[in-house]
Amino acid sequence: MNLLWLGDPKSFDVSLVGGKAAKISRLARMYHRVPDGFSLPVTLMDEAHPLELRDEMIRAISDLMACHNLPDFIAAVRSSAVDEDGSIASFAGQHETYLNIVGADAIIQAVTRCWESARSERALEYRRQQGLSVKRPQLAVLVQQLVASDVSAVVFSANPITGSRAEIMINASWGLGESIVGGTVTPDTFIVLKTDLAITGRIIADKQPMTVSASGGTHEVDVPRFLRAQASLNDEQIVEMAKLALTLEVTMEYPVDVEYAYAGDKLYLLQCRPITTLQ
Amino acid sequence: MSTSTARTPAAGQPIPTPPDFSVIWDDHRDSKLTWMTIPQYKTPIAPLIHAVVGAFMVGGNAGMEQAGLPFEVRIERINTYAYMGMVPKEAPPEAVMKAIGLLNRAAPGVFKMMMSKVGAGMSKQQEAALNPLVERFESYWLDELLPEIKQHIAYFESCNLRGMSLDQLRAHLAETLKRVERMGGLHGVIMPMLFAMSQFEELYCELFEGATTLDALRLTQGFDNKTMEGDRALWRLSRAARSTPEVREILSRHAAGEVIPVLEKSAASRQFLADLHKWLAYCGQRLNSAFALGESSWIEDPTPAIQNLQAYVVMPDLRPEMEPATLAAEREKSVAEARTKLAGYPQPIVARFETLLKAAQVAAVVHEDHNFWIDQRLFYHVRRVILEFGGRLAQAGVLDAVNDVFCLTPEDLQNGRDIPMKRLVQERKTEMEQFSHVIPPPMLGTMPAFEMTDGGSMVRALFKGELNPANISNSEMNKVKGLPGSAGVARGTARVIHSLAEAGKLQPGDVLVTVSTEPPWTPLFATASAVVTDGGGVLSHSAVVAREYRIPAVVGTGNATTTFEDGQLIEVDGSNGIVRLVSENQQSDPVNLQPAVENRKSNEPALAG
Repeated sequence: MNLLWLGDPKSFDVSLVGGKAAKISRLARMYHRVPDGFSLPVTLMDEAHPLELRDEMIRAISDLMACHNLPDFIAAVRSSAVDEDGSIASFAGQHETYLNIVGADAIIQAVTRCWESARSERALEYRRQQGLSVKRPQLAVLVQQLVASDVSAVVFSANPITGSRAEIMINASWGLGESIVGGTVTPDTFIVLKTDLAITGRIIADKQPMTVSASGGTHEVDVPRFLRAQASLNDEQIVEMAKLALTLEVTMEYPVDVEYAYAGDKLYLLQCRPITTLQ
Repeated sequence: MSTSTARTPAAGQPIPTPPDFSVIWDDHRDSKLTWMTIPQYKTPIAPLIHAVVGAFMVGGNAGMEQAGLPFEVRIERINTYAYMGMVPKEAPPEAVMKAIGLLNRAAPGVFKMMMSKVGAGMSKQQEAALNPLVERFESYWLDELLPEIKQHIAYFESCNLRGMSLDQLRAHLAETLKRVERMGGLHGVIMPMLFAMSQFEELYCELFEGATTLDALRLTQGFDNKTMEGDRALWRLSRAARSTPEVREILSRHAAGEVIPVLEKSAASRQFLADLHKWLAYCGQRLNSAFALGESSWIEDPTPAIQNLQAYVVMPDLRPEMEPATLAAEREKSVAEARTKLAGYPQPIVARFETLLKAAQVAAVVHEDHNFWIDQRLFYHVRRVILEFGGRLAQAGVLDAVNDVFCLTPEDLQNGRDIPMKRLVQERKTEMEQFSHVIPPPMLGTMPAFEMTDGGSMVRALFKGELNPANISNSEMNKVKGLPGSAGVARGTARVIHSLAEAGKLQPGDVLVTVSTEPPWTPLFATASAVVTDGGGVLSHSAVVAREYRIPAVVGTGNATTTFEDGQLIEVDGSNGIVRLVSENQQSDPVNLQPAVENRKSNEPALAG
């Protein structure tokens, strides 16, 4: 077995699955509702046998579909750099993301693209500048279920604007998270008090763009008018998000910046990082 | 066109009346309202018809109330013409109205902004009032409205008019008017169907870039409704006629009015005649237009049905548009495509889409079925009651003729014999005769103090649907622009038809050009290659039915009936809302069916492939 499942202790190894996948793998262990998936470890980049890989991919997909009772496995394919250590936030060819990829062949194609961009002249030049090895660029790839989120949210376990550690701040909007993360939409803002989880602030924005899955990728479209000024989260959801952010903060022992998605009534944890901007 | 140079009076000012139309107001407060002519009544209206129409319209105010609109409609007979007035429910004090009028003149920009705020508020209010109905529209129609509508019709069917004494008939007339008012109410509260269709259409166009209203409405087509059911039955009758040489011969050789007596003499036509009578018994309970109470029903005079059969009988068999399966398949394909596109969308959007789709699909059926039950059946029965009354009075020598009864009011009829009925009839006939030579001014009373910039979404839906002509100046010669009503392009000979009495001139492949089509006209759509109307919008009856018949339609042109003439070859582009003259004086050739058939083919979106 070449593929490594999220939550499998082997996937905690950064040198094998890269920083991103290792982190998500730990989250999957702690909090079970992380979109399920697997990593293609760095070793596969040079040694993958195409036919074998394809067989394994097909098996993995059908396992995932059976396990989560999915009619289809819709994937997010992301590069996960091995020598990414957090201080070098990003560099060329190590931050590829392909969303809404369906079927083993399309996933393999996306994986191949991730690998190719790591070998690209631009990526190699960057590595040279950073004093990293250019002989064997190492890249793992994470294949994860793309949750068709009704609402996406970015949650800070501290208020990044006032710096208050007594508050949790939630930004939420319709559709996939790209429009919030990319800053194209003005999301709803909710403030929750840590002590009693009371919702003390609530700004409902006129949310115009949203990102949705569309034939083989994602698309930013207009939110239909009837939904723009509607609150993207109800109180119950706000509190559920705040609670989980608190738990994560306690476990990680630092204030966290969390990405969430609601699909139906299920809350998914997508990402969890330290808040870097806090004073 | 008249070259009237009369200046429009300013807002809130009295509207001057022409010398031949001076008005004496029974109630001086009425002179402060704005009264408008009703497009359906271009000629004087008889008192009894006015009473029926008035009762129906007053009942219809229930719909206004449901939509949270702050005014009511009243129908008055002014100088023998029907006028419609909008009466504010709680009229603001005159000083306020004056101030508003003043602001409008002094600072139109500020005024407009204020009004758009008021409009937006009304719009929200209406949506809040109507959305709950839209969400349960199917059960609203099937479980609440339709049973009561059918109950009223069943009541009329169960009445043995002949067996009633004159006193019983008087009581029955009062009961009839009460039920007409109630039916008007039921008709009024069905109007959220237009709201449902327009809400769906707006959401669809928002969700799918580049989509048109017609694309959206394709998802609502092809459900069985009473109009298509009756029309298809008539078409099938024509197939039977086509395969029975004797019947075909009679239909082809004789004038419409002579067909039935000749059929009765032909032994080979017996089965066909029985089937025709069966059709008439069920579908013939209609007048030539909803309120045409003074004209025969199709049961009394089946000429319009025969004319349709005469046009159909020469047409070939292959008519895919007469098969509901074709439309349904096209609809389901579009629905599936939309659902696939929405698969990755947030749940609230998918849920709203499904709710509005369902409501709009039901509404498309209700759009036709309410015509069948109310606009056709109800008034058919009301006419029977009136004729029974007229018959009795004529028999007793109180009236000279049965139809004179239309010149009496319900009060006259209730008062009985003490009234000089013949004299009253004579006076009113004379008055109507005199005014028939006068052109009624389009507006009477007082100019509205201000104009609503946006009456809210219900009004928007109504306007999209039934009332307005497209406000497009059609200055270009030989070309008319309107609203796309039904997709496709067709060429044919123009036939300008003002009433069903003229419908006989429509030959297979001709283009039906009219002010607006009435529900009983729909069988003509099987003969026409396209439809063009002066009035109406994309949700108007003409457009809805044209889509079911898969023929191109351009609606709301404002002036097609005055631009085009009988016999011209015109081209109708239903997708883009354009009608243009191709050549003058195309000879009508009923045998040459080729163009019509080809048009129909080109109109079909590529289903195969």
